[in-house]
Amino acid sequence: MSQTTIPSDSASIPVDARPPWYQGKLVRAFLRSPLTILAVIVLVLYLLAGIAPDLIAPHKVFDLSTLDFSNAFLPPAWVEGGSMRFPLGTDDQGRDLLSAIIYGLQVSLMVGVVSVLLSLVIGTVLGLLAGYFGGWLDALIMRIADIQLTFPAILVAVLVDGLARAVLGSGLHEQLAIWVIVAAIALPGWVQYARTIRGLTMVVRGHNYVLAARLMRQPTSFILRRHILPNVATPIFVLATIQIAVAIVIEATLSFIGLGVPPTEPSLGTLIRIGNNYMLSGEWWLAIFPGLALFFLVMAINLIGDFLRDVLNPQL
Amino acid sequence: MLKFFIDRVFQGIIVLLAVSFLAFLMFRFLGDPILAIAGADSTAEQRAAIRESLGLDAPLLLQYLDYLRNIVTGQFGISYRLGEPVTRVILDRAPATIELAVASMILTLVIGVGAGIYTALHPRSAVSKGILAVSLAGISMPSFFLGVLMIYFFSVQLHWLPSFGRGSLVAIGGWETGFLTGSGLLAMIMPSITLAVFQIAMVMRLVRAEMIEVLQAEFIRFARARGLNARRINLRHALGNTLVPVITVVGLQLGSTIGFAVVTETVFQWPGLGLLFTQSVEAVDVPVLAAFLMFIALVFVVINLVIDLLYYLIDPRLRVDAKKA
Repeated sequence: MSQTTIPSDSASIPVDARPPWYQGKLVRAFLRSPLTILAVIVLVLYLLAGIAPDLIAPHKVFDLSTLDFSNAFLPPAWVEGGSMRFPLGTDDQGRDLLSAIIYGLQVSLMVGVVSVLLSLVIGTVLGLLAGYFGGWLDALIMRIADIQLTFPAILVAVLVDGLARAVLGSGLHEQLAIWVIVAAIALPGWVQYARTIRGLTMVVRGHNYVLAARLMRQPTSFILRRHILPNVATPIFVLATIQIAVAIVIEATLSFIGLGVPPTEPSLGTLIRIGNNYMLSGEWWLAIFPGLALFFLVMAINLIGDFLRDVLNPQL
Repeated sequence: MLKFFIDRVFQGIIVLLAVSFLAFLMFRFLGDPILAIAGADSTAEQRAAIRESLGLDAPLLLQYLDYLRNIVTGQFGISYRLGEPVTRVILDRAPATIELAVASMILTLVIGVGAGIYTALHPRSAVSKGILAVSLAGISMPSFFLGVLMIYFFSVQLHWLPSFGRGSLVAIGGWETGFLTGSGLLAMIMPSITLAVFQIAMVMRLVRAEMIEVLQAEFIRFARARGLNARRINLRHALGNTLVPVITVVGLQLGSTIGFAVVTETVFQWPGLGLLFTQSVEAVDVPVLAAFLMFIALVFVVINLVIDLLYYLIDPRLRVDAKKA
């Protein structure tokens, strides 16, 4: 951060004003951290599976004609009675669990990424406005942020989901369920971006190049976009990385308690909920494997987020 | 001090008013209370009569004031789903959640602060590295999945702990507690760990980071130079100075404890407020949801107020600032 900003009160210009990721610092630190390399490899595998499940999943789990009830409740391949055709076992309808996890991953990743993008955009715009203009607009936005911050994200998400059910009615809610979830997760998320962006914008606002741009009568939207945004963006990337993990966990949690995505588009959380029903009767793999898939995904994202924070802005 | 306190109370009241207006809008416009009372086969005249008797033909602002008056006297209407007054439903369920939250808070403070101090004092030991690795796993582990895993190992495989419910309870006054019976305590183990694990990991990391920073401060070196014993330096001088951020986080966590209780109670079928909340969302039980919203807002306002006051008591620097201001 310190390299990117030019102090307004002195003539000294930093030796290297480029953002840290241009300086090879990120790459060098990355190559020195085997744990982060491992996390990136794991995440890339997850992303590939999530982007193209049709290519990677061994079975088409949503094609009912491929299901065979005689394959129901097969245990994982290495347990007695398991088969290599279904490496992680099958569910009550003979569905391949590994394929179900891969398709579920797609839903989880989609909801996580889209909701983070949504709260990122809302938070960035509100934070820029609050920080740049100050005054009553700033006071209003930050007061709303304070109130919002006192409610934990998971509660807000459950509540938004409940409200959407009441407003939309069950039929319409079923159709829009994924978007309701995205909104429910994005809504409490904007505050952190807004607070971070606002603080940085208030600093950058006073710098000479912004003053110069204002003297040249450049339009305010242009100043915000071209002069301020690039200089306050770094910490937002770090925050967004970690927030994707948070969003994925919230989605899984909502789906687990039965309030999330509809059963027709099962995410990892839905799979764990369904599997949990069979836990007491001994079919442990149905809940454990989707859960482990979720755990390693979140862990990989957290490791990468920690790494980015350590390298790019340790003060966050 | 007094001005600071009054400011905070005033802010809290504004938050509560804003939330109560939201709750009122929900209560008034989601679902149809008249239809709920009169039944689907009532005539238009009957409905009009009920509308008038309930005051629902009055201007919105008057209705809101009416709603506020009801809230202050503890009347939140009748639950659509259970047919009982919402206030009674909530009061019946509250002890279960409060006991769960207290148990997990104790775990958080004892394990989280303890492990944080240890890893800060012995940064290079193998035990510390192990603790840090476990804490990273704890932050990445979705709490409901930890619950599922524990049920599998301790209930399904080993038959040591019950997988649902509160065990047998003892009534003290109107309060049914599980703290005093063996089965009540056993039933509490897995839910409270599930609820606490994320917070333990967070508090631990926080205490460790703060403590490492404080240990490098001048006054610690001076205390060492004076020859004070290590225990006194570590616990009194260093720990005392790390407490302020820890209190904020733990306090704010108390709020998210209630949030996460929604999840934990669903996993373990724990008959508390969280389970009530999920069931009410599924059944679109608007009066309960509206009351819940108010209840949570009240809890958070009180928690924030207490945190601010604790700051004031713990950190003498704030008192000086407040006098200057």
